[in-house]
Amino acid sequence: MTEINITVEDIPATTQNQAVKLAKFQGQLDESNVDEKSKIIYGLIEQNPKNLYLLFDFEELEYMNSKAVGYLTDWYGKIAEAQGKIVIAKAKSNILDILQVVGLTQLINTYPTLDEAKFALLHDVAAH
Amino acid sequence: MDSTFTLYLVSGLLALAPAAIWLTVIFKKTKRHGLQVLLFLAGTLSVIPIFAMQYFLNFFPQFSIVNFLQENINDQNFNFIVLFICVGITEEIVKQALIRFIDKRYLLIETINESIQFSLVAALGFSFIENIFYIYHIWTNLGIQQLFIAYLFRSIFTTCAHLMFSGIFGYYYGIAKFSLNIREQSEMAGKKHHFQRFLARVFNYSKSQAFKETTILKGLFIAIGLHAIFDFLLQLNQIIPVVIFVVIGYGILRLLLKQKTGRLVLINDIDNVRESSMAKTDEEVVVELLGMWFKEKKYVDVIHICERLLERDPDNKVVQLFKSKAIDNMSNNSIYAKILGTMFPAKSISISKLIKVKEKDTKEEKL
Repeated sequence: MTEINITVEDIPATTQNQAVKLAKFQGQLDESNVDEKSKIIYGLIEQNPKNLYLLFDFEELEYMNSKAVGYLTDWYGKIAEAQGKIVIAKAKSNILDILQVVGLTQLINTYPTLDEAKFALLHDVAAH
Repeated sequence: MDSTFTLYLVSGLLALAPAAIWLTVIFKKTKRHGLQVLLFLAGTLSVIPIFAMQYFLNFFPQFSIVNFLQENINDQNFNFIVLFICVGITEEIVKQALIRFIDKRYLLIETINESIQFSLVAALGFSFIENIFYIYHIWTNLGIQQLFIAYLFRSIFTTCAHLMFSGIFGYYYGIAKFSLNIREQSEMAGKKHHFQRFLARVFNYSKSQAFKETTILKGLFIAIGLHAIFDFLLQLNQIIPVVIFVVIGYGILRLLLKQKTGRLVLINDIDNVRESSMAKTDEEVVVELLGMWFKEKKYVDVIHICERLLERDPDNKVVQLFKSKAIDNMSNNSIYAKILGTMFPAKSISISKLIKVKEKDTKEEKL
């Protein structure tokens, strides 16, 4: 089984009814672990049915398989429907390339730094 | 002038009329007409093995399956079925061998539709010669009064039936010819091909070779089966079922020819293939996703992703196949999809719908 760690931490929110989280991905999301690890994000969505603001830190995410891209689409759909938001920070060029061809970069804004992504998440700022 | 020769000449002219009409229709939609004329002529020669076989059986009746059946089995219907299967097998094998030979020699076929159309041309050649003999036979045995109806029937329905058998074989031959890409695409979309895998293991074939051979055999069996049914119904004078049978077959052939996938050029000019600007492993992830979403019938998403991926890798035939098959499936299922969509709303998330919603929200925010 390939290693993947997803750690979640809180980010201070700007308004009361927001739940703002930083999810840090380390390793490779592949067939051996993607179903199991995706439950962490689904758990967050379940715990915060409205106004969930998620920042995915992909700096140490080496690889994501097709299923992982499918899950990312599903997370976006669920969160956006519940007035939440997802942004991605520091994704490697191979990951960005995949997301761009799939069309996910039209939905999820991506940022080169964590600070920019945090700022965009909490204030509606246009993507880079 | 010898009267037999005159009768054959007139029969030839009569038989030429339906062949010429069909050839004109096919020529309008295809290229490389010179090779097709060659194919038509070769089609006319394909009656030779069948006549040779009949000639042989006249001299050696002990090898005749007809004699064997008549002597050993009393059930006449069964005898007819076996006889017509034998006739169908012989005619269809000869026609398909011709297509395979000419395609291998001249690399004639570049699309599935071309495979269908060129098979039709070969079938027309065969049907032309067969019609000459039938017209001559009916004229000399039943007289000119009987000829008119028989001529009309053979020109329209029998010729059409030959086109149907060969066209359906041509479709499968086209799939077999491009089996490398078509098998890859269908496996990506979730098809398992257990039988082909089993054959590959037993005969030590590559998976692609097993897929190719079984697809050709499948096409041949279908063509033979249809031929046998047609001959059997005709023998029983079941004219209305024959007409319905031919009309349905013609409709199926037209549907096959309308498919977007059939028009896709699946031959790559190796010298002019453009390299992909995407890393191989990344592209594999996207192609896997295409397969996943194709299986889930998210055809709009598949088409959009294919379009973006083809900007990066324009000569990828598997991606081209995904795109055209998604378009075909969308147009084939549009009415059913609407009905099913109303009854069972889709639970899975579609990127294209999400993009539309986002664009709408952004516009509203701007206003």
